[in-house]
Amino acid sequence: MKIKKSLEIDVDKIANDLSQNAVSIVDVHKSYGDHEVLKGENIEVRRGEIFGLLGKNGVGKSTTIDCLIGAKDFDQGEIKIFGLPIDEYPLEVKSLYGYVPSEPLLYEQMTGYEYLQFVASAYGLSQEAFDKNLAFLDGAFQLGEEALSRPIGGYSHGMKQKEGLIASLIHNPKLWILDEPTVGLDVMAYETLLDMMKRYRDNGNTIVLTSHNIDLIADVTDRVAILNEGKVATLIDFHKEPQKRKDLKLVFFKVYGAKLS
Amino acid sequence: MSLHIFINELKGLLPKGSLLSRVLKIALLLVAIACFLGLEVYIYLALDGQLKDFSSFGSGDFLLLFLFVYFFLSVLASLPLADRCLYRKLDEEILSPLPVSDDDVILGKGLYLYVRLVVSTLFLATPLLIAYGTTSNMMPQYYVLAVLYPFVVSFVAIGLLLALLPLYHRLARFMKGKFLLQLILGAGVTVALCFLYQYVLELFLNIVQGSRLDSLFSASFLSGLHEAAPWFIPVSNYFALMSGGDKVISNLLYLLGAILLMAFLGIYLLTYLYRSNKEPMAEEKKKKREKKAALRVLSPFKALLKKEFILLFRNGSYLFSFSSLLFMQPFLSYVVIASLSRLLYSNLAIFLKYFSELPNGVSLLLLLLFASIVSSGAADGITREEKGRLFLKTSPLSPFKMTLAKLLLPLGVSLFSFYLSAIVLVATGEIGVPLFFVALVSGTFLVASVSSYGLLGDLASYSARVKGKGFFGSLTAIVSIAFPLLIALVHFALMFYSGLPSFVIYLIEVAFSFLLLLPLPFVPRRLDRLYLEMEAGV
Repeated sequence: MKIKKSLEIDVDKIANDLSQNAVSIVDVHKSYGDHEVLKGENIEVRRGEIFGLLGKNGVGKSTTIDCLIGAKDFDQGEIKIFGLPIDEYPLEVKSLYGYVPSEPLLYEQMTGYEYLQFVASAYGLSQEAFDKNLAFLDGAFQLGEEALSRPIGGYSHGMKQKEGLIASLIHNPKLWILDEPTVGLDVMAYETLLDMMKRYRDNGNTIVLTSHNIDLIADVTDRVAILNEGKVATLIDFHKEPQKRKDLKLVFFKVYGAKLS
Repeated sequence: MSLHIFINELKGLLPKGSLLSRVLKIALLLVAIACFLGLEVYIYLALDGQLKDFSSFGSGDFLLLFLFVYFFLSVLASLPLADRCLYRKLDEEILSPLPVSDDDVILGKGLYLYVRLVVSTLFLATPLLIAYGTTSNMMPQYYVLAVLYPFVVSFVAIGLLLALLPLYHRLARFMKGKFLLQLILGAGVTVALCFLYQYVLELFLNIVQGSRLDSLFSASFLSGLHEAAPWFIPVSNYFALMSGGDKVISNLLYLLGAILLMAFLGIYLLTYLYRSNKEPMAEEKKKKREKKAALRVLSPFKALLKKEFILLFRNGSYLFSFSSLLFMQPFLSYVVIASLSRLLYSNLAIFLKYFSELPNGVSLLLLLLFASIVSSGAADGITREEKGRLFLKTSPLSPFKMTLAKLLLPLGVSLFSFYLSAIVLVATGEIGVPLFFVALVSGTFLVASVSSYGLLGDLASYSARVKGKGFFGSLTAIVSIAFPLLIALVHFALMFYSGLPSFVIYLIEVAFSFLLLLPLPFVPRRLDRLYLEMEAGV
């Protein structure tokens, strides 16, 4: 694995290069000890779409996301984000996406404000952009000044999830990766998230979304991949097969050889 | 159900790993306990002999005082454990949906805490009681009652512990987030422990030197202690029953009264306040508002430094392993080095005429050991991230920058504390100027090595491709202990056998310190690899 030390590449230019897919996962293998979780996975996520990843427990959804964001090393294959191989340009790639994990992973000793300030500083955001984005995102997710002034350790699961959502978008990324983002969210925040995802996509950005919530996937995604045994078992394009939005649950059960009662 | 909870807690005490490693751990523990018991009884018997000559009341009052103080200390020391045990969040999440009452939880965990109190008292108090019995020619029933002592007194202790627990829990909650207050309290406790340590050390030195105890205990103290001893309830009452005193009924009633009162208070208060204590306190919701105007975007490196500061100094688990020690290192170094120098000069005066550098060597060894221990307390920069470790993998910041920020803060404050210790020692004349400079150079390299190699070792422990903490983890463990010992060994060997002038020996020691820098060229390459290999995720 070789890391390109040069920071001479223009990240903004790459992010706006329409010839490249947002995400390209080619023949990726990943094992934990003797257990191979990803067995030659191939996924292409186009620019400006919401791409869903579906699968029952243990088929490799989270591992796919972990490899995509660079949290876990993969054994074989290639992953590119906006055409940049993530192992060669890890830092450049990381500035292009925002990530929301299934379980909020935040610095619990910091207050909500301190954490957002830290994330904005780490991404090199300007003061003006930070103030503007924070006002917009806090207005959308309604975490509020009182909560943001408290240490994150005292937050409920839903509040932490909201904090994570705000942090993931504070630097206005081109790609938004969400792993089970609706767990713990109240109804209002859930609707806000749905609305935010659609608006984000409509602005030309890309989303990769995993969820066990088939209704959510059917509602917001443009295309969906159902994983089985470490590979994509079925790929559905809802623009070509719109009726499958309604039948997604049936397709899902069929992939795993089960019957929907 | 209470029994299940009790057994579950006990299982947590069992050593983990393979059968061989478990057997080894248990064997090591038994050896450590045997050594401790041997030392404890030796000190007691030495003191007992001196106290019998010194005080007309004998050593019984002192034994009672010790047992009484230990009784309270064991209760106070068990409070954090009891808090973690009874208010453990994971247990709460698992048990709350199950048909398990709070009474079952309190009973099961209370029983576990009682067993722990009994075991610790059995190891600490019973040997002393037996030793006292042998020197005072007690009757056989005394020894039977001595063995039962931990079981009876721990009944009162567990009651007191449970009664104090709600108060402690509220206090701990109040302190949560008040980092300055925690630091002040931590420093205060460490100061108190240092004074206690100094006092015990002085007592120990007096025993070793066979000095009389007049300087430590006055006649009025002895008579005051004798008068106060009967009021050391419940210890004095049980002791009187053991010794076959004349007030059997009244002592028995006092003891039963103490057990019942504490049991009632403990169980009643804890049961009454258990549920309400688990709810978030109203005060927590009224936190001071932080002004948004202060939310300035910082440079990435400044932001990383600020994050490290928050993770290090707002984390209660570093209070006693690092933050407080930083403040106490100069004081502790002075107390220990000054006491040992006194011991050496008073006992080995003739020997030191020929080997005058011995106290210097000991001082250098201790100073370096303290510096190494303090700095290693904060060398786990990656573990400190806890859940935030994922941020290290997903943020667009270079591993070098993040490591540098992780290194600079603990390294800076550790060095500051170390320099202050060295300055205190040279200013008070405990070490000479040449040794001061040797200590500065060696200590700087040592602290820098322990901090940086320790951080790499910690990083390696999260790599899927490295077993344990890898090369740098092992190197840190070796360097932190072996380097001070090596320097001391070089010092002693050259001073005794070489006949070289002192300044040459000091220069050789400084040259040896440069050995610590040998692995440095491998660090950047290893760092990049380890960051790539580090696995983080949900």
